[in-house]
Amino acid sequence: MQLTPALVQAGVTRGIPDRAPRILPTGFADLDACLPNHGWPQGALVTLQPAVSGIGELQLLMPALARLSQEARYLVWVAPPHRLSAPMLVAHRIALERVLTVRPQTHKEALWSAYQALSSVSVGAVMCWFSAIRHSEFRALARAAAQGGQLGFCFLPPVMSAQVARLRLVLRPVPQGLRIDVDGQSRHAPVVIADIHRKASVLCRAGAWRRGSPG
Amino acid sequence: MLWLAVVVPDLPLLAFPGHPSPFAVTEGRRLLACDEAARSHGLSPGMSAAESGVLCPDLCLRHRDAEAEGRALSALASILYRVSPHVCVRSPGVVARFTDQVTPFRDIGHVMSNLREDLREAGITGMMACAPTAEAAMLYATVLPGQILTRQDKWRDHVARLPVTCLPFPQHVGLFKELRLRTLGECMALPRAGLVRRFGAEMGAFFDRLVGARAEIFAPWRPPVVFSRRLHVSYALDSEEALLFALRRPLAHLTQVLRRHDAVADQLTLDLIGEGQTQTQTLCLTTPARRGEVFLTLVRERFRSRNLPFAVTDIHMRCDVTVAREGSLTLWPEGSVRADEWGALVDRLRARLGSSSVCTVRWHADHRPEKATREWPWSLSVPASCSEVAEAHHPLWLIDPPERLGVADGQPRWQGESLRFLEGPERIESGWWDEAVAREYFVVRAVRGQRLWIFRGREDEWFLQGYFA
Repeated sequence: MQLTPALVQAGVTRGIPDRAPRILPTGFADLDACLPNHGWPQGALVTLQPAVSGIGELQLLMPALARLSQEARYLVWVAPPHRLSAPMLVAHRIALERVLTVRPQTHKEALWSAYQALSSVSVGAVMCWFSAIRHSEFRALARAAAQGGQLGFCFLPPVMSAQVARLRLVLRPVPQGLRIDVDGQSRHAPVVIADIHRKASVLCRAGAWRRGSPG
Repeated sequence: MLWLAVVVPDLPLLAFPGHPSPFAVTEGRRLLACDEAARSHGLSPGMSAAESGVLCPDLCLRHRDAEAEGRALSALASILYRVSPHVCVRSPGVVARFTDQVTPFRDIGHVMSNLREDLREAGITGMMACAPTAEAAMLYATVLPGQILTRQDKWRDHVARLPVTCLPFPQHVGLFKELRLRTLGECMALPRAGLVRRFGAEMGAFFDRLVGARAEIFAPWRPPVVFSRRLHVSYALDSEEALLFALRRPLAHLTQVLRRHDAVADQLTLDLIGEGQTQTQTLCLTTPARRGEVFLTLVRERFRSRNLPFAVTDIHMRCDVTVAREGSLTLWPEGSVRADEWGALVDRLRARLGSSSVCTVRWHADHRPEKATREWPWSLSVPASCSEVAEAHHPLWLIDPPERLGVADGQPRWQGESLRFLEGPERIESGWWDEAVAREYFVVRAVRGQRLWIFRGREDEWFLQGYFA
């Protein structure tokens, strides 16, 4: 009996480690199409640079975070600039008992907290905010993210120079909605997501993004 | 088998040592127990609190303290533990088991007279009795204190002659009288099905346990384990590394103690003493640990950013909370490994940043946005959240306290820029009980494209409450 035809079939495990990078779909089909491997990379630190606060920068993460929360994974928020609204987290289908906010006093403590959270395998996603960060510090956090293998998002002010991040998203408000420039992906035109608030909450609620095909 | 029961009729009073006199303990609006002085005024348990105040104007009333009662019973159990390895707490008393033939003491009467002395020293007024079943021993301790019944006596006949009024079911006394039942023997002679139908299954089970027809299974009481070590070092400890080295061996002892008792620890208190000063450090774990060495990591995080306050020469170590391990190991440990890892992460963050900086978000049922969201220090037992499902039409970022906006030509301005109104008004009026608010909320767009959530208060002042992030 020939084993080869069975082995070449997809879905038959042969003990060979899966080389495909692990990703989590963002939920937004337009954005997925633009991102390498069509989703948020796991085990990497994604840099988000919103031009100003209040343009829907958190809504971008909500469908992925809702999915992690439903899988009983913890979401750690390190040094968030404002207070998270509990009713709105619930409205986005995020379980409050899975949310941990860390409020460090100094930049050093913030770095240490983010490093601890990123390198822990127990966490689903880490969101951290810095007003300024050095390249060496960022590289240390990125290494921690690779070790933990979870989602990591680093919010930086727009004036910061290009970081050594694998993925950097610059977010700007435009009249049609939120414009996202995926850094280093010049072959793509910038993504514009219209009415991101309504779209994100619908995605979180319906779970429609689960079926969302790339492109 | 022989059971010795000690019943404390004044257990609610025992929870208040050194209470004033006359004194009574209430549950709900009724008296539960009262002391001798109150009784001499004509008070009795079951009386309403208002009535007792009329009879005895200078009466001191307290609500029942169930926790202190548990501690008092635990103290009683530890006294009985000296004479029997099998002790069970059964409120309002404690039972201890002895073997029939071989007692290391001369006889059970001798044991009882010794116990009486111990109880008097401990300040506990207990009534005791012996019987071949725990239920019967409890009953005799309440009704005929000092009674000793063994298997050699015709003890079942003795039990059968007891009057029905001594049963611990006061609600059924009237029904017994109607049925003309006078003794326990007459009750037990009734057909069992009918008895259960009239008085409930609990009554049938009680009679079965009373005469030994049904096994009595109680969880045994175990003495609490307290780990305490005093450490003196001949050289003063001045660095974090030296402190960790000194703690390594006592914490290894803690691991052995925990293993021996099959117990876990979730809190360690360290008193650091030196140069005439004392500093107390408390280290908490999210999930109780079975190994003392986990505290080393927390000590390291606690002292990494700051130096030792002084050169330490003495360390007092206490592990107060030691509870029995629950649950069992799972076949597929991935989930539990992740949970352990999470607990360790939270412990590290708390040890370095302080408990108040590591928070969980809770939703309190309130219409005022700044009151609806609360941050609590992280713990496994946090107060329950509101479980409604809200509409996602409010912002995710809240500004606390709300930021006051400038006004020009009657229109609000943010950072000197005009605002374009998109939605609203939405009226929120609430909080008449503490801080009344009447607000009209609007969603506006700033010049640079932000969506903001602003409101107008009672006096036409404008505030920024949140960002639609």
